[in-house]
Formats: sequence, structure tokens, C-alpha cells
Amino acid sequence: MRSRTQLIRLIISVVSLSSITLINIVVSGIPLGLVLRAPIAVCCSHTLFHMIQVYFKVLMRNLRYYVLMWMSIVLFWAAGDVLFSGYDLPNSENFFKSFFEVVWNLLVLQSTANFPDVGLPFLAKNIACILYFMMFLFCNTIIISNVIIANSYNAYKEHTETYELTEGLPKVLLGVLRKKEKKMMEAEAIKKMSAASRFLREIVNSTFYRLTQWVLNIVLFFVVSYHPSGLFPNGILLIMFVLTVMLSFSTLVLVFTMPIRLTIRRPFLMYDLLVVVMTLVVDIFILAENNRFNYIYPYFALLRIPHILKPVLQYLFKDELASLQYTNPGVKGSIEVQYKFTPRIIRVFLTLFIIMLQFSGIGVLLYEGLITEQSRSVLETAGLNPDYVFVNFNSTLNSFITLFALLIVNNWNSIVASFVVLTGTRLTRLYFMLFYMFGVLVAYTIVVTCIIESVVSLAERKKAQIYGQQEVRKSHSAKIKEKMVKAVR
Amino acid sequence: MTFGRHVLTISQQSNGNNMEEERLTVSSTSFLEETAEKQQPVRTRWLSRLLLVAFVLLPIFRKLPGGDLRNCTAFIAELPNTVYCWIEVVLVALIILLRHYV
Repeated sequence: MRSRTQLIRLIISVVSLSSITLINIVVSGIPLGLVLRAPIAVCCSHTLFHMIQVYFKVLMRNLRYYVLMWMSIVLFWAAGDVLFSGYDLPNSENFFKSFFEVVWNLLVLQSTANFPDVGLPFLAKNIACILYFMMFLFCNTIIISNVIIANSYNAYKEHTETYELTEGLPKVLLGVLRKKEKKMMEAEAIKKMSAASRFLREIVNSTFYRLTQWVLNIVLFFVVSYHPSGLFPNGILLIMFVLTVMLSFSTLVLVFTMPIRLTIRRPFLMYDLLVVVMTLVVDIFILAENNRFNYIYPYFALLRIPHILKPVLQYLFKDELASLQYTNPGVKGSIEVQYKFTPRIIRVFLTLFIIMLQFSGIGVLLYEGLITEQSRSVLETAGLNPDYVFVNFNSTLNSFITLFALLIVNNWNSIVASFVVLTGTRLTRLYFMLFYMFGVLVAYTIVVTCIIESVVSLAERKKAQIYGQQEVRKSHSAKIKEKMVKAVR
Repeated sequence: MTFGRHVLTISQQSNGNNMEEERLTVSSTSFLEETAEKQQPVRTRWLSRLLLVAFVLLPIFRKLPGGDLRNCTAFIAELPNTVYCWIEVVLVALIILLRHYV
């Protein structure tokens, strides 16, 4: 039997499909799929549906803060209207000319994109005006925005914990079981190994060998990246070839001494193997083929970056990595499974992607073809940067670039200004305001909270590990004391 | 497999609830079997995932700004609007079928 949520998901998917089909039959050519893409993807994917639930949970939990934020904007509009009514400023510099203009400018001010530019004309008249802007930034940017992040963190953490203990439990436990199974298989494989293979594995796993390998990786990266003078491409290519052969030794030892099913389960080893094979093949090809594809090989140096970063990260975060897999018998209330950061961050980025996909669909439908190369002169006349023609909604890819620029909120008011100039109506701002509300203040906040949650969880696990070890030590010393007392008696 | 029991026992400690204990204290073998039964066949799952990704990314490849990738995906860009829309319809129908009925 289907659950209610599954049924709703099915109904939304079928309705979306019927709408696309109907529109396609009646008025051929309207890309309705652009707008319905996100709902269909959400209804057909369990992960996306779960993350959209998180999104709405965060949205609902923060609803009163969003109301507070808008109330604050309206209050500052009223206060500004009283305070700045006596200032005689040119129309282009005075943002206190209409309610909508003030609300828009205050919303942009909250994101700090137009500060201090927006207040400069008033400051020129009276320096005390800065207090008004400082008060607004203090209330909305420093307090309300950060409260929204903190509240989102609580909602996200609660949801994740509940999910992991209920629906997500089989998945989480399955992951743990598979990891343990892998470890057992690895131990078995090592047991069955010949003495020579075991010796080779010991060599490549030794600290000295690993350190040498790390240094060689750095040498390879810098030699290829910086093209030292005196070395012509063939020389660099030869160095790259020799170093790759040297570095491939450990990879090949690890690959050939382990069963294939275990090698496949080690992503970094697979990546290493891929880099080695690709570099060797490309080097040989370029050397044999008279340097026509010379431009390719420097890119292979970039593939060495993970090799250089991995040991550094392992050293810097060794405590966190140890606490990732720590099973603490003493502390109650925490589920003792391996903490997985990557799937979480992927899931929150998917949420962001889905929200952007929805806005991109609407954006393409509304503003496709609005900005072209010919718009440069119009923008220049309006006093805007003509290069903003590259930020447009002419295709899905372009719309994603535009939305990403809006997400970062730097100079987003200038992007919106170019759209307002070209459409000729200030109502255009409504779309961008909605994206700021639902994209920046909710979806982007979830990404931030996920990162905060990961750091806090790791710190908690580390604390639990130390606490657990102390408990073990205490019980151990208590047992020894007991034994000693017995022996003395 | 004894390792499954280990994880589940710890979960039981963290809950401290008798009902939870009964539910969670299952052997890892039966747990894995039950989970495998509930899951979609791997091939179908991956096929529906692939179709979903194709459906989401299709409009990006339909109108690329330019360059080598544009040449590779020219066949999508050159499709008439009606054909493109019908491809979308078929893709969605397939995804719904695979996700909800298979």
C-alpha cells in the first residue's frame, strides 16, 4: 500500500506530465517543461523530496523572523520618511521617493550590496544620517540574518537527527555494515597474501615512502606548472614521464596485491590509477606523435592537486578523522555510526540546485532574449556597466550564472538595475526579491547551516571520544585498585 | 555476520526504550535481506536516476553559448521545438513509470 506522501508525489508528477503534454498539443512550442522541471525532479527522487522537506521545515521555522525582517524594513521606511523628508536631493540620488523604492533599497542594504553608496548623498548633507543606516544594518544584517542562520541550524539538526533515527536508519546502518564488511574482506585478503606482496605493501605504506611520494608529487606539479627556463617542452614532458613512472609504483602495488572488488571500493586509489594511466598514455602519445598535443600535458599536473592536499588535510584534521569512526560506549543519545560529510553537503547543494532550477525556469520564460549585445548602448546611457549584458536569462546555463551572481549578492542591485532599465518597469524587481527571499535567505542558509552542523558534530564527537576514553581509564584504574585491595587482603 | 549486531546494540543503548530495542535488535543478515527486498532493482534505480539527470540537464545542452561542447550537442540544439517537447514528455513518463511502478 502506498503512503500518503508517495501518493501526493505521484499526483504532482502525473499532473505535471499532463500539463506538459496538453500545452504541447494545444499551443506547440511553449517550454512549460522549464517551470515544471523542478517539481517533477523533486517528486521522482526520494533524496530531493527529503531535502525539499528540510527546505520547507527551515522556511516555516523561520517564518516569524522573515515577518520581523519585513516589519523592520517597513518601520525604517516610516522613520526614514520622517527623517529625510526635509533633504533636497536630486531624484536619482534620493531613494526616499516612493514606498516601493525604499523597500527595495532597504532590502538591498540588508544584503550590504549597496552600502555605503546608498547613504552617501544623505551623509553629504548631514553626517548624523549614518546612524540611521547603522541602526538598520545592526537590526537586519547583524541580528535578524544571524538569528535566521542559528534557527535554521536548529531546524536542520533536528530534522537530520530524526531522519537518521527513522527513515534514514537502514541506509546509514547499511553503510556501516558495508564498511565493516570491507574491512573484514581487506583483513582476509592481507592474510592470504604471499610474503613478497606483504613486504611490498609494507614498503609503500611506510611513512618514509609516503613522504617521498608527497615530495615527488609537489616536484611534478611545480615543474609542469611553472615551466622553468632552460627546459623546452620535451624536457618537461620527460620529467613528467619519469616522475609518473616512479609514482605509479605504489599505486600498482596496491592495485595488484588486492582483489579487484576491494580496489573498486577505494575511490582515491581508483582516481590515482586513472591519473597514472592517463598521464602515461598522454605522455607517450605526445612524444611519439611529434608534439601536436603539447598543450594538454600541463593539465595533468592539476590532477596531482588531490595527491598533494590529501596528506596535508589528513595531518591537519587527524583528530576529527579519528573521531569520525569512533564508537563511544559511554555516551547516550547519539547514534554511533560513521559521520558522513560528503553525502550531506551534496544533498544541501542539490536543494540549492533545485531552487535555482525553479527560478531559472521562470527567469528564462520571463526574460529570454531581453538582453542582447545591442543592449550595451542602453545600459551605458542609463549609467550602468555595459558588460552586464553577459548576466542574462537567454539560456538555462546563462540563467544559472545570473542566479549564482545573485546568490553571492555582491552588486546584485546593479544586475537588477540592468533588467529594470531594459524591461522599463520596476515590477521586474519582484522576481529578484523573491529569489533573495527563497534562494538566498532559505536555500543558501541551509548550505551554511549544513557546514556549521558538520563542524559542531565533529567537535561533539571529539569531546565524546575524550570523555569516553576518560571513562574507560577510570573504570580500568578502579578495577586495578580493586585487584590490589583484594591482593593486599 | 557479527558486526551488524554491534552497531544495532549501540543504537539500542542510545534509545533506552524497550520497544525500540526489539525493533532494532535484529541480525545483520536478516536486516540486509529485508532492506534489499524493499529496494528497487539496482538497474532500474540507476536507469531512472540517469533519465532524471538527463531530463534536468537537457535544456542546458539545448542552448549552449558556444565552443566545443556546443558542437557535440548540436543535434539537441537543432531539434524542432515540438520534437524536443515530446522528448521531454516521453522522458517524464518513463521516469514516473520507473520511479512509481517498477
